[in-house]
Amino acid sequence: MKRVLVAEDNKLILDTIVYCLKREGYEILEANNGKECLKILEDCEVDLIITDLYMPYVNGHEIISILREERQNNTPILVLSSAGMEDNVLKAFELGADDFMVKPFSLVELNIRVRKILAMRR
Amino acid sequence: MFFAINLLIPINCEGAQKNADQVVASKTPVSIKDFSLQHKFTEPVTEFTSDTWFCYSTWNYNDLKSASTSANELILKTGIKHVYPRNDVQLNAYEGLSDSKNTTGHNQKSVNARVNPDSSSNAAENKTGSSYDYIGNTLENVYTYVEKNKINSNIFPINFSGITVHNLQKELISYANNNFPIFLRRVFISLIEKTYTYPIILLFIILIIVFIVNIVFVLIVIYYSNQQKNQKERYIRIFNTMYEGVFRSYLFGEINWEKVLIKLKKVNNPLNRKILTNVLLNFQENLRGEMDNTIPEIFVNLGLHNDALKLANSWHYNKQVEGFRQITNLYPKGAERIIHEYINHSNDLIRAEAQTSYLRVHQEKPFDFLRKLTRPFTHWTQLSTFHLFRLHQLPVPSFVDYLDSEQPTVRNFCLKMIIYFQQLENASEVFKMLDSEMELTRFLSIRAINDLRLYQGKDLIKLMYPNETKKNQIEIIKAFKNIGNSKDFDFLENIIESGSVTAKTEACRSLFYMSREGYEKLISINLNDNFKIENYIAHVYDPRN
Repeated sequence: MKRVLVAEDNKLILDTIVYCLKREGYEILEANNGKECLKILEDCEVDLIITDLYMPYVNGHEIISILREERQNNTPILVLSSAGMEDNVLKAFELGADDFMVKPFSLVELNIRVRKILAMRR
Repeated sequence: MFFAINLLIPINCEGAQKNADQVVASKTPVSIKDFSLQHKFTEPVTEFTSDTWFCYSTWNYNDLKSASTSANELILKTGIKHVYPRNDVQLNAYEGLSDSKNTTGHNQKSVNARVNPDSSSNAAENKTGSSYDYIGNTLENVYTYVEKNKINSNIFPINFSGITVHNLQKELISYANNNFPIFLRRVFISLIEKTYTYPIILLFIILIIVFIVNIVFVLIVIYYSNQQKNQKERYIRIFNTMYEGVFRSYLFGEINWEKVLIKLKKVNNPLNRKILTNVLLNFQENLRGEMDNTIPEIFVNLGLHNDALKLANSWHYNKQVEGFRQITNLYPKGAERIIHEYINHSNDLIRAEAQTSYLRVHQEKPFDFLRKLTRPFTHWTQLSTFHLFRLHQLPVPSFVDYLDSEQPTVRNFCLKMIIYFQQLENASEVFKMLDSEMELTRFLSIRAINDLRLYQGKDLIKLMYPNETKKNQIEIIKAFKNIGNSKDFDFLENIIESGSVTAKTEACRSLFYMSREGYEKLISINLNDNFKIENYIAHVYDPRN
C-alpha cells in the first residue's frame, strides 16, 4: 500500500484530501504545518508528499529545499496551493517539486495526478 | 446649599445663664407659623439673628440636663429630628452667631411662636419663607462639644454626614479595643484618628476601596467573558467538524440528502447557520469540478441563501460585504440580481466587493462593469480583479472597448491589461490615449507602443518628446530600442548631445540594442571629440544593468 504524506494547514481541505485518497487505497499521514511534515519525514519514508505552500512555521518552498538539498530526499512532491502566481510555480519547480496544482482544485484531477506520479516513480 | 445643624443655643437673658433647645436655624428667615403647624409645635420660640443666621429656640431651662430632657421630649412629641440642647458657652463657639452688641452674641427677638393662626403678631412677624434651610457647622466644633460635655449622642443628632461618620469612628475604635491585639490596636486607632483629623485621608481610603471594588468587578467580567468566548469557540469547533463530516459524506455519495437533513443538528439556530455557511464557503473556495454545482445546491436547499441575501441588504457595510461574498460564491443567481446596484456605492469596501463579485458572477463579460463606473477604480480592486480573473481562468475581453471610459483609472487599467495580454487589435485607440491630459495615461500609452511594437506610433511619440515630462521622455527614448530604425539616429544623437544623464544613458542603450547599424552609429558618435560617452557605453554594456 502506497504511503502518502499530506501537509496542509486548512483542516477541511486536509480532511477532504485524506478522505479522498483513503478511498483510493492509500495509507495517509497527516501534517498540519511544515514543522510536523519534516518531523514525520525524519521518522518514516513515504512514497509521495502533497504539500501546501503557505503554512505555519515552515512553508512549502522551504520543505522542498530542505528535502532536496539538505536531506537528499528524492520523494516526489506535489504542491497544492492557492498561490498560483507564476513566480511561485517556477520557484517550486526550480527547488525540485514534481508537480503543481492550484486551488481550487478538482479531487478527480488530484487522484489522477497522484496515480501518475506514483506510477512514474515505480 | 445649606446644611442644617439645629444647634441648641443657650439664651442668656438678664445676665443669668440660661439653656435652650434650638429647633431650627437658617440663613434665611423661617416661617415659624408653618414650622409649628407642620410639627404641631406649641412651645414659644425665640428668634436669634446675626448678620448671616436666623436661629429659633425654645428657652429658659435652668441647666443643660433639663434642656436635654426637654429636647428628647420634643423629638418624641413633635417628630422634629434635630433638637439640640445648648448652653451659653457653646453659643459663643457657634460660628457666625457672634454679635458684639449682646453678651450672648445675639440679637434676640421673640417670635411668639404659640400656634395661633389668628394672631396678628404672628402674622406680622412670621417670615414669608415657606421652607427652612439648614446651616452647617464645623465637625470639629460638634465633636469637641460632644466630647467635652458628654452629651448623649441620641439627643445630639446633626443633620449632615459628620455625626454619622463620628458614630462610625466611635464604633471602629470600640471594635478595635475589643477585638484587635494591642500592637494592631494602636496602629488602627491612630489611623482612624488621623483619618478623622484629615478628611482627605478618608477620601483616599474611599477611593482605594472603590478602585479595588472596580478591579474585582472588571476581573470577574473578564473571567466570565473569557469563559463564554471559550465555550462559544468549542461549540463552533464541534459543530464545524460535524457539519464537515456530513457534507463530505454527501459529496462523496455515501449518504443521501434525507440522511443529511437528519444528521445536521440545530439547523435553525442562527449561529449554526453561520457555521454551515462557513463550511460550505470553505468547500467552495477550495474545491471545484464536480463540486461546483453541488455545493450551491446544498446552500439553497438549506435556505441559507435567504440569510445571505439579508446580510447583503444590511445597513452595516461589513455585513453587506460578507453577504456579497456568500452570495457570489454560493448563490450566483441571487448575486446577479443585486450586485450591479453596488458597483458605484459610496463606501469603498462595498464598492470593491461588488466589483469583484461582478467579475465572478458575469463570467462571459467579467469586466463589463467598467463601462458603468462613475467612481475611481481603485488600485486594490484592480489587483483583486486581475488575480481572480487569472485564478478562475476567465475569458479575456478586449480591453480596448473600455478605453473610452470617463474614469482615468479605468483607462489606465485597460492600458495595463492591453500591454499584459498583448492585445494588438485596434492600435488606433491606444494612439488616442497619447493625447490624454493625464501623465500616467500618456506614459502607459507610450509603454504600450513600445511593448506591443506599434511602429505606427513612433512618429507620434517623437513629436510628443519636446513637450513631455521627464518620465515620459525617458519612456519615449526606451521605446526606440524596439521600434527605432536608422531614420531615428539623428533624434537619438541630439539627445546624447544635450539631454540629461538618464536621457543620454537610455539613448545610448536604445542605439546599442536597436540594431547592428545602431551599435555602429553609437561607436562613431563616441569617436567624435565633442561627445564623451565612454562611460555611458560601459554602463549600457555592463550585463548587471
